[in-house]
Amino acid sequence: MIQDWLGEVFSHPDLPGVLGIVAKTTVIYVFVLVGLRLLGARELGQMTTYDFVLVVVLANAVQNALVGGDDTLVGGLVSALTLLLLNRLFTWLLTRYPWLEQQMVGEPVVLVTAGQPRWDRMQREGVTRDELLASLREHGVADLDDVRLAVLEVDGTISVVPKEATVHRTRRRARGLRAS
Amino acid sequence: MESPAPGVLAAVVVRTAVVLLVLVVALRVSGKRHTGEMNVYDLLLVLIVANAVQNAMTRASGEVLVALVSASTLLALGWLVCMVSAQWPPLQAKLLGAPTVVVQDGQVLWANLKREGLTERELYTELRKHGLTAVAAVKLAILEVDGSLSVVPKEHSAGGGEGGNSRER
Repeated sequence: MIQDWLGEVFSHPDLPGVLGIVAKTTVIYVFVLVGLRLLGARELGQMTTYDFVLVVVLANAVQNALVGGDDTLVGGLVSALTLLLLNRLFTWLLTRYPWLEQQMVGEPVVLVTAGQPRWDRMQREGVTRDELLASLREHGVADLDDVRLAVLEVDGTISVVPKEATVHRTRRRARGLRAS
Repeated sequence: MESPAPGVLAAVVVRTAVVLLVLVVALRVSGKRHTGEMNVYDLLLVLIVANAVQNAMTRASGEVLVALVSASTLLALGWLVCMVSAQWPPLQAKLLGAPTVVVQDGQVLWANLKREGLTERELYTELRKHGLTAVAAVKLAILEVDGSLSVVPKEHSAGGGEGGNSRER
């Protein structure tokens, strides 16, 4: 009887059909990934609450299709492992092809160099003067003249490198979520 | 509605435990980018994997008891692992992995960086957050188990050049 029970937990009625799960999961994951990017997800590095909700709901929307109604242990694990492998492949591609990372994740933008602010870039990225000065203060830098480099990172935070070589650690934002 | 048989609940416990084990191992093998700063695709992955395994744990059952048993299994296992690894440090090391050196004496260890799934751009972002602009100024940079980067700058360094790979347009 234990054997029957174990069989029920760990077996799968249609093992070759499990490949179907791999295929479905792959199609869905790639679709959602590309979709997120096409709809301006690069700027989601500065995620608002609404963007966060969007990603959560997206993951839920596709949930049942990932395994196609299969509710076995094997089926679910196959789907999860497929996702993790696909993601590993994706991040490998990002490390291998910087242009891809630029496309998918964005790239850092230099806002201040050698004490000179670039207001045109700030305007383009939607960074206000107040936000910039607030970042300077956060990093213990008194004014623009003391800045060697200020960069808007892809996650929406501003790194400030002061002219003297003291090391400051950025105060980490709450996982990139902003209130706006 | 009669409540689920003990055999069913026992199956839920086993399935949940297996799912947790498999995911822990898989994420551990995937490198540390999942514990560091997340971009939107990292967040998507975590959520979508969680959804993928839901029915594997509960067999798509809508029973409250099944859900409670599954949740309790996860909480109990989490607590157990915590207790055991506090008593037995080797387990904690196995679970969390070890810190990885990514920059040594001004040189990037590319193989290590790739293994952890970090891009060059991400490395430079982290350096800037430490107030450094070039790899040459770094004596040692270590990717900790929680995904954060610890940086030891070289003595008398000027911090380096113009910001790694940021856009200059």
